[in-house]
Amino acid sequence: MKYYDTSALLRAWKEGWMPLEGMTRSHTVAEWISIQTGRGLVYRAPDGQLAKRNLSPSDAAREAQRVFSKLVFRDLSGQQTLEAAALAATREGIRGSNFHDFLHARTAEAFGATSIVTLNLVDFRMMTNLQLEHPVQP
Amino acid sequence: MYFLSMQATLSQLHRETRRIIRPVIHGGEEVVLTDFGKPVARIVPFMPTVTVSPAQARASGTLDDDHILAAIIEAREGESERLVAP
Repeated sequence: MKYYDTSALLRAWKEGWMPLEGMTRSHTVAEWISIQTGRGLVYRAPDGQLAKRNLSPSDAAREAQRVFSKLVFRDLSGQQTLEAAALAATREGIRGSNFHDFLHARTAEAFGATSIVTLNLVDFRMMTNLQLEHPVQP
Repeated sequence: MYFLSMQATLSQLHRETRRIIRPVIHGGEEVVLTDFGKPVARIVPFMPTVTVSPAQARASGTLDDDHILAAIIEAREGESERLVAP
């Protein structure tokens, strides 16, 4: 089963598809909603102009229901998260916001994911031996 | 238009310019500058966030991978870097 991170599920939403099966963390919903209703996403218009757009909370909640509908939620326990923090401390470059990605990777490993679907191939390569995939419509 | 509002002192702006300006430029946020506890100026983004429907958002243009990753990083760091005026 594939593990989808936040970046993959934002890409899926933009392209109008949703994963037909797979897993993610509950916190992925928090990140997805936070971005879509807060800072928004920067779109590039055909003329090259950049525009920042976000969604209303009700629209974002409805869109999240659809994008996440086929995914199973798998979460580390508090103790597993603390163990992940200790492990991250032994690895080079896992700090700051990267720790969120490390928790994605640890969750994928802990629950037997076969691969991680993400746009962030560079950082995840430092964090896991699991196969990494760019998000594409199933 | 959608603005989040932060506050920073003039001293903070001097010492931590990048950290204070970055959310304005990349996060669509607004920063109110204070001096001796009173608001004295406001920095606003040139590219404000506009709330639209999902269909309008998708039709706004292409979405670069780098922009998605930047939004995630900025959202995560924004939570820990939010400034509070002393």
